[in-house]
Amino acid sequence: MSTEKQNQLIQQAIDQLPTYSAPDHLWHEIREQLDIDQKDNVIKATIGDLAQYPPPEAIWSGIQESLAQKNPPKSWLKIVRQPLSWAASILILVSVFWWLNNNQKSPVSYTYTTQDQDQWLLESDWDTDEADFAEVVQLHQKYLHTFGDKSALNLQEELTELNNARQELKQALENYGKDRELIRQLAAIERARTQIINQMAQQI
Amino acid sequence: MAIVSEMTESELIDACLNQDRIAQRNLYERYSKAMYTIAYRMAGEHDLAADILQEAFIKVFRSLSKFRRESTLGAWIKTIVVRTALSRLKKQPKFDELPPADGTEGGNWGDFLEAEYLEKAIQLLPTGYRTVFLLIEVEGYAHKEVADLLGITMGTSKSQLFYAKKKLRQIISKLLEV
Repeated sequence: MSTEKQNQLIQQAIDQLPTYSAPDHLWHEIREQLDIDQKDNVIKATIGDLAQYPPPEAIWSGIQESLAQKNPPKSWLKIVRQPLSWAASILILVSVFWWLNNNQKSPVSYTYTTQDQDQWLLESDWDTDEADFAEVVQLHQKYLHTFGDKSALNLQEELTELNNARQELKQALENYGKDRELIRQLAAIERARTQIINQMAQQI
Repeated sequence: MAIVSEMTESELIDACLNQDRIAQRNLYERYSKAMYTIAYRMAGEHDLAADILQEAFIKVFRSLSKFRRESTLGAWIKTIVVRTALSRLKKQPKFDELPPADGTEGGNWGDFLEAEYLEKAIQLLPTGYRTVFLLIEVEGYAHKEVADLLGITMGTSKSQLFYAKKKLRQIISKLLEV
Protein backbone atom coordinates (compact mmCIF):
# COMPACT_ATOMS: atom_id res chain seq x y z
CA MET A 1 0.00 0.00 0.00
CA SER A 2 1.38 3.40 -0.92
CA THR A 3 2.27 5.95 1.72
CA GLU A 4 -0.26 8.36 0.27
CA LYS A 5 -3.02 5.79 0.70
CA GLN A 6 -1.94 5.11 4.27
CA ASN A 7 -2.08 8.81 5.13
CA GLN A 8 -5.54 9.04 3.61
CA LEU A 9 -6.80 6.20 5.78
CA ILE A 10 -5.25 7.72 8.89
CA GLN A 11 -6.92 11.05 8.10
CA GLN A 12 -10.28 9.34 7.63
CA ALA A 13 -9.87 7.60 10.98
CA ILE A 14 -8.95 10.89 12.64
CA ASP A 15 -12.11 12.50 11.23
CA GLN A 16 -14.18 9.72 12.75
CA LEU A 17 -12.69 10.04 16.24
CA PRO A 18 -15.43 10.75 18.82
CA THR A 19 -15.65 14.00 20.81
CA TYR A 20 -15.86 14.03 24.61
CA SER A 21 -17.72 16.41 26.92
CA ALA A 22 -16.04 17.91 29.98
CA PRO A 23 -17.48 16.73 33.33
CA ASP A 24 -20.16 19.03 34.70
CA HIS A 25 -18.27 19.65 37.97
CA LEU A 26 -15.24 21.02 36.16
CA TRP A 27 -16.60 24.51 35.66
CA HIS A 28 -17.66 24.57 39.30
CA GLU A 29 -14.08 23.81 40.36
CA ILE A 30 -12.63 26.38 37.97
CA ARG A 31 -15.03 29.02 39.28
CA GLU A 32 -14.13 28.09 42.86
CA GLN A 33 -10.43 28.53 42.09
CA LEU A 34 -11.15 31.89 40.46
CA ASP A 35 -13.08 32.90 43.58
CA ILE A 36 -10.14 31.90 45.73
CA ASP A 37 -7.76 33.94 43.57
CA GLN A 38 -10.03 36.94 43.83
CA LYS A 39 -10.29 36.60 47.59
CA ASP A 40 -6.53 36.26 47.91
CA ASN A 41 -6.12 39.41 45.85
CA VAL A 42 -8.57 41.25 48.10
CA ILE A 43 -6.67 40.06 51.18
CA LYS A 44 -3.37 41.19 49.64
CA ALA A 45 -4.80 44.58 48.87
CA THR A 46 -6.15 44.90 52.40
CA ILE A 47 -2.83 44.01 54.01
CA GLY A 48 -1.57 47.46 53.01
CA ASP A 49 -4.45 49.02 54.95
CA LEU A 50 -3.72 47.20 58.16
CA ALA A 51 -3.25 49.58 61.05
CA GLN A 52 0.02 50.25 62.82
CA TYR A 53 0.04 50.29 66.58
CA PRO A 54 2.05 52.80 68.62
CA PRO A 55 4.01 51.19 71.45
CA PRO A 56 3.27 52.28 75.04
CA GLU A 57 5.47 55.14 76.29
CA ALA A 58 6.82 53.08 79.17
CA ILE A 59 8.81 50.86 76.84
CA TRP A 60 11.48 53.49 76.16
CA SER A 61 12.00 54.03 79.91
CA GLY A 62 12.55 50.30 80.35
CA ILE A 63 15.06 50.24 77.48
CA GLN A 64 16.94 53.26 78.88
CA GLU A 65 17.13 51.67 82.32
CA SER A 66 18.56 48.46 80.89
CA LEU A 67 21.09 50.29 78.77
CA ALA A 68 22.21 52.33 81.80
CA GLN A 69 23.32 49.07 83.46
CA LYS A 70 26.36 48.96 81.23
CA ASN A 71 28.01 45.99 82.84
CA PRO A 72 25.44 43.80 84.51
CA PRO A 73 27.12 41.67 87.24
CA LYS A 74 28.39 38.44 85.82
CA SER A 75 27.43 35.23 87.48
CA TRP A 76 30.26 33.05 88.84
CA LEU A 77 29.49 30.57 86.10
CA LYS A 78 30.15 33.17 83.41
CA ILE A 79 33.39 34.20 85.15
CA VAL A 80 34.82 30.68 85.31
CA ARG A 81 33.41 29.50 82.00
CA GLN A 82 36.24 30.79 79.82
CA PRO A 83 39.18 29.60 81.97
CA LEU A 84 37.41 26.26 82.32
CA SER A 85 36.96 25.94 78.59
CA TRP A 86 40.67 26.76 78.06
CA ALA A 87 41.68 24.16 80.62
CA ALA A 88 39.39 21.59 79.02
CA SER A 89 40.86 22.35 75.58
CA ILE A 90 44.44 21.96 76.86
CA LEU A 91 43.51 18.70 78.59
CA ILE A 92 41.99 17.35 75.40
CA LEU A 93 45.07 18.35 73.37
CA VAL A 94 47.44 16.74 75.88
CA SER A 95 45.30 13.59 75.96
CA VAL A 96 45.26 13.38 72.18
CA PHE A 97 49.04 13.97 72.00
CA TRP A 98 49.69 11.31 74.66
CA TRP A 99 47.40 8.85 72.94
CA LEU A 100 49.00 9.43 69.53
CA ASN A 101 52.48 9.16 71.04
CA ASN A 102 51.67 5.86 72.64
CA ASN A 103 49.92 4.40 69.66
CA GLN A 104 52.36 5.38 66.91
CA LYS A 105 55.07 2.92 68.04
CA SER A 106 55.05 -0.32 66.13
CA PRO A 107 53.56 -3.01 68.29
CA VAL A 108 56.15 -5.28 69.92
CA SER A 109 55.28 -8.91 70.38
CA TYR A 110 57.21 -11.47 72.34
CA THR A 111 57.00 -15.13 71.43
CA TYR A 112 58.55 -17.94 73.33
CA THR A 113 58.16 -21.64 73.68
CA THR A 114 58.80 -23.91 76.60
CA GLN A 115 60.21 -27.40 76.60
CA ASP A 116 60.28 -29.89 79.41
CA GLN A 117 63.85 -30.61 80.36
CA ASP A 118 65.10 -34.18 80.42
CA GLN A 119 66.78 -34.44 83.76
CA TRP A 120 69.21 -37.09 82.61
CA LEU A 121 70.48 -34.70 79.95
CA LEU A 122 71.29 -32.12 82.59
CA GLU A 123 73.65 -34.50 84.36
CA SER A 124 77.19 -33.92 83.09
CA ASP A 125 78.09 -37.63 82.99
CA TRP A 126 80.41 -37.53 79.99
CA ASP A 127 83.56 -37.47 82.11
CA THR A 128 82.70 -40.48 84.32
CA ASP A 129 84.48 -43.05 82.10
CA GLU A 130 87.32 -40.76 81.22
CA ALA A 131 89.78 -42.41 83.63
CA ASP A 132 89.13 -45.87 82.12
CA PHE A 133 89.40 -44.44 78.61
CA ALA A 134 92.73 -42.78 79.51
CA GLU A 135 94.08 -46.11 80.82
CA VAL A 136 93.16 -47.91 77.54
CA VAL A 137 94.66 -45.09 75.43
CA GLN A 138 97.85 -45.18 77.52
CA LEU A 139 98.23 -48.97 77.06
CA HIS A 140 97.45 -48.63 73.31
CA GLN A 141 100.15 -45.96 73.04
CA LYS A 142 102.58 -48.22 74.96
CA TYR A 143 102.09 -51.15 72.59
CA LEU A 144 101.64 -49.09 69.42
CA HIS A 145 104.95 -50.17 67.87
CA THR A 146 104.04 -53.86 68.40
CA PHE A 147 100.76 -53.74 66.45
CA GLY A 148 102.58 -53.56 63.11
CA ASP A 149 99.81 -52.01 61.02
CA LYS A 150 98.61 -48.55 60.26
CA SER A 151 95.12 -49.00 61.71
CA ALA A 152 96.33 -48.55 65.28
CA LEU A 153 97.80 -45.17 64.35
CA ASN A 154 94.58 -44.22 62.54
CA LEU A 155 92.60 -45.05 65.68
CA GLN A 156 94.79 -42.72 67.69
CA GLU A 157 94.42 -39.91 65.13
CA GLU A 158 90.63 -40.37 65.00
CA LEU A 159 90.51 -40.33 68.79
CA THR A 160 92.54 -37.11 68.89
CA GLU A 161 90.09 -35.44 66.43
CA LEU A 162 87.11 -36.65 68.44
CA ASN A 163 88.73 -35.41 71.64
CA ASN A 164 89.23 -31.96 70.10
CA ALA A 165 85.61 -31.87 68.91
CA ARG A 166 84.48 -33.06 72.32
CA GLN A 167 86.49 -30.27 73.98
CA GLU A 168 84.91 -27.60 71.74
CA LEU A 169 81.40 -28.87 72.48
CA LYS A 170 82.07 -28.91 76.20
CA GLN A 171 83.26 -25.29 75.95
CA ALA A 172 80.11 -24.36 74.04
CA LEU A 173 77.97 -26.01 76.68
CA GLU A 174 79.71 -23.94 79.34
CA ASN A 175 79.27 -20.73 77.36
CA TYR A 176 75.68 -21.13 76.12
CA GLY A 177 74.08 -23.49 78.56
CA LYS A 178 72.91 -27.02 78.17
CA ASP A 179 71.45 -26.82 74.72
CA ARG A 180 69.63 -29.96 73.61
CA GLU A 181 71.32 -30.02 70.19
CA LEU A 182 74.84 -29.62 71.63
CA ILE A 183 74.18 -32.43 74.08
CA ARG A 184 72.95 -34.62 71.21
CA GLN A 185 76.17 -33.91 69.25
CA LEU A 186 78.28 -34.59 72.34
CA ALA A 187 76.48 -37.91 72.83
CA ALA A 188 77.30 -38.88 69.20
CA ILE A 189 80.99 -38.04 69.77
CA GLU A 190 80.98 -40.08 72.96
CA ARG A 191 79.55 -43.07 71.08
CA ALA A 192 82.27 -42.69 68.40
CA ARG A 193 84.98 -42.39 71.04
CA THR A 194 83.63 -45.49 72.84
CA GLN A 195 83.81 -47.46 69.59
CA ILE A 196 87.43 -46.35 69.02
CA ILE A 197 88.35 -47.14 72.61
CA ASN A 198 86.77 -50.60 72.18
CA GLN A 199 88.82 -51.17 69.01
CA MET A 200 91.97 -50.02 70.84
CA ALA A 201 91.18 -52.42 73.68
CA GLN A 202 90.75 -55.26 71.17
CA GLN A 203 94.11 -54.45 69.55
CA ILE A 204 95.76 -54.46 72.95
CA MET B 1 27.57 67.45 63.86
CA ALA B 2 24.26 66.74 62.09
CA ILE B 3 20.94 67.20 63.91
CA VAL B 4 19.85 63.77 65.06
CA SER B 5 16.48 63.89 63.33
CA GLU B 6 18.17 64.69 60.03
CA MET B 7 20.87 62.03 60.30
CA THR B 8 21.21 59.34 57.68
CA GLU B 9 20.81 55.76 58.82
CA SER B 10 24.58 55.29 58.83
CA GLU B 11 25.20 58.47 60.87
CA LEU B 12 22.50 57.45 63.30
CA ILE B 13 24.11 54.03 63.79
CA ASP B 14 27.51 55.63 64.43
CA ALA B 15 26.00 58.02 66.96
CA CYS B 16 24.24 55.14 68.72
CA LEU B 17 27.52 53.23 68.85
CA ASN B 18 29.00 56.27 70.62
CA GLN B 19 26.30 55.81 73.26
CA ASP B 20 24.53 59.02 72.21
CA ARG B 21 21.23 58.75 74.09
CA ILE B 22 19.41 61.21 71.81
CA ALA B 23 20.45 59.20 68.76
CA GLN B 24 19.32 56.01 70.45
CA ARG B 25 15.95 57.54 71.22
CA ASN B 26 15.67 58.73 67.63
CA LEU B 27 16.45 55.27 66.28
CA TYR B 28 13.81 53.83 68.59
CA GLU B 29 11.27 56.41 67.43
CA ARG B 30 11.98 55.62 63.79
CA TYR B 31 11.29 51.93 64.07
CA SER B 32 9.27 51.30 67.23
CA LYS B 33 5.82 51.68 65.68
CA ALA B 34 6.41 49.20 62.84
CA MET B 35 8.18 46.78 65.16
CA TYR B 36 5.53 47.00 67.84
CA THR B 37 2.90 46.22 65.21
CA ILE B 38 4.77 43.06 64.18
CA ALA B 39 5.19 42.06 67.82
CA TYR B 40 1.51 42.66 68.53
CA ARG B 41 0.32 40.68 65.52
CA MET B 42 2.58 37.76 66.42
CA ALA B 43 1.81 37.81 70.14
CA GLY B 44 -1.89 38.61 69.82
CA GLU B 45 -1.86 40.78 72.95
CA HIS B 46 -0.48 44.21 73.87
CA ASP B 47 1.29 43.36 77.15
CA LEU B 48 3.33 40.57 75.61
CA ALA B 49 4.01 42.75 72.56
CA ALA B 50 5.41 45.50 74.83
CA ASP B 51 7.72 42.99 76.55
CA ILE B 52 8.88 41.68 73.18
CA LEU B 53 9.61 45.18 71.88
CA GLN B 54 11.57 46.19 74.98
CA GLU B 55 13.67 43.02 74.95
CA ALA B 56 14.25 43.30 71.21
CA PHE B 57 15.42 46.95 71.31
CA ILE B 58 17.78 46.26 74.20
CA LYS B 59 19.30 43.50 72.05
CA VAL B 60 19.43 45.93 69.11
CA PHE B 61 21.42 48.55 71.03
CA ARG B 62 23.70 46.02 72.70
CA SER B 63 24.57 44.25 69.47
CA LEU B 64 24.53 47.21 67.11
CA SER B 65 28.32 46.90 66.67
CA LYS B 66 27.70 43.50 65.07
CA PHE B 67 25.38 44.97 62.42
CA ARG B 68 27.39 44.58 59.20
CA ARG B 69 25.27 47.03 57.20
CA GLU B 70 24.66 44.43 54.49
CA SER B 71 20.88 44.83 54.81
CA THR B 72 18.84 47.84 55.89
CA LEU B 73 18.78 48.62 59.59
CA GLY B 74 15.00 48.12 59.56
CA ALA B 75 15.30 44.60 58.17
CA TRP B 76 17.95 43.76 60.78
CA ILE B 77 15.82 45.09 63.64
CA LYS B 78 12.75 43.28 62.28
CA THR B 79 14.62 39.97 62.36
CA ILE B 80 15.56 40.58 65.99
CA VAL B 81 11.95 41.43 66.86
CA VAL B 82 10.63 38.32 65.10
CA ARG B 83 13.21 36.09 66.78
CA THR B 84 12.45 37.62 70.17
CA ALA B 85 8.72 37.19 69.61
CA LEU B 86 9.17 33.55 68.63
CA SER B 87 11.27 32.88 71.69
CA ARG B 88 8.83 34.72 73.98
CA LEU B 89 5.93 32.75 72.59
CA LYS B 90 7.93 29.95 74.22
CA LYS B 91 6.44 26.85 72.74
CA GLN B 92 7.14 26.97 69.05
CA PRO B 93 3.97 27.09 67.02
CA LYS B 94 2.96 23.65 65.87
CA PHE B 95 3.34 23.03 62.18
CA ASP B 96 1.04 20.17 61.34
CA GLU B 97 0.56 19.02 57.81
CA LEU B 98 -3.13 18.43 58.54
CA PRO B 99 -5.48 20.58 56.52
CA PRO B 100 -7.91 22.78 58.42
CA ALA B 101 -11.39 21.48 59.17
CA ASP B 102 -13.72 21.62 56.21
CA GLY B 103 -15.80 24.75 56.04
CA THR B 104 -17.34 26.95 53.43
CA GLU B 105 -15.19 29.68 52.00
CA GLY B 106 -18.35 31.71 51.43
CA GLY B 107 -19.66 33.56 48.42
CA ASN B 108 -18.38 36.60 46.67
CA TRP B 109 -16.81 39.21 48.94
CA GLY B 110 -16.77 41.95 46.36
CA ASP B 111 -13.60 43.88 45.60
CA PHE B 112 -13.06 45.45 48.96
CA LEU B 113 -12.48 44.13 52.45
CA GLU B 114 -12.36 46.21 55.61
CA ALA B 115 -8.87 45.98 57.20
CA GLU B 116 -10.63 45.52 60.51
CA TYR B 117 -12.03 42.16 59.36
CA LEU B 118 -8.67 41.02 58.10
CA GLU B 119 -6.99 42.03 61.37
CA LYS B 120 -9.54 40.07 63.35
CA ALA B 121 -9.28 37.08 61.05
CA ILE B 122 -5.47 37.03 61.36
CA GLN B 123 -5.76 36.99 65.13
CA LEU B 124 -8.20 34.09 64.92
CA LEU B 125 -5.73 31.95 62.96
CA PRO B 126 -3.98 29.16 64.86
CA THR B 127 -0.47 30.25 65.96
CA GLY B 128 1.44 28.24 63.35
CA TYR B 129 -0.68 29.46 60.44
CA ARG B 130 -0.69 33.02 61.78
CA THR B 131 3.10 33.13 62.11
CA VAL B 132 3.75 31.90 58.58
CA PHE B 133 1.02 34.11 57.07
CA LEU B 134 2.29 37.22 58.88
CA LEU B 135 5.93 36.64 58.01
CA ILE B 136 5.34 35.87 54.34
CA GLU B 137 2.26 37.84 53.29
CA VAL B 138 2.44 40.81 55.65
CA GLU B 139 6.16 41.20 56.37
CA GLY B 140 7.37 40.02 52.98
CA TYR B 141 9.78 37.29 54.04
CA ALA B 142 10.66 34.55 51.55
CA HIS B 143 9.85 30.92 52.31
CA LYS B 144 13.56 30.20 52.74
CA GLU B 145 13.90 32.95 55.37
CA VAL B 146 10.79 31.76 57.20
CA ALA B 147 12.06 28.19 57.13
CA ASP B 148 15.35 29.36 58.69
CA LEU B 149 13.62 31.52 61.29
CA LEU B 150 11.19 28.84 62.38
CA GLY B 151 13.46 25.82 61.97
CA ILE B 152 11.15 24.15 59.45
CA THR B 153 11.57 23.08 55.85
CA MET B 154 10.61 25.26 52.91
CA GLY B 155 8.00 22.66 52.01
CA THR B 156 6.39 22.98 55.44
CA SER B 157 6.45 26.76 55.13
CA LYS B 158 4.65 26.55 51.76
CA SER B 159 2.04 24.07 52.93
CA GLN B 160 1.44 26.07 56.11
CA LEU B 161 0.84 29.19 54.02
CA PHE B 162 -1.58 27.30 51.77
CA TYR B 163 -3.59 26.07 54.75
CA ALA B 164 -3.33 29.43 56.49
CA LYS B 165 -4.87 31.20 53.49
CA LYS B 166 -7.63 28.61 53.23
CA LYS B 167 -8.42 28.99 56.91
CA LEU B 168 -8.28 32.79 56.61
CA ARG B 169 -10.83 32.78 53.75
CA GLN B 170 -13.14 30.62 55.86
CA ILE B 171 -12.83 32.94 58.87
CA ILE B 172 -13.37 36.10 56.83
CA SER B 173 -16.41 34.57 55.11
CA LYS B 174 -17.84 33.74 58.52
CA LEU B 175 -17.14 37.24 59.83
CA LEU B 176 -18.80 38.77 56.78
CA GLU B 177 -21.90 36.60 57.26
CA VAL B 178 -22.46 37.77 60.83
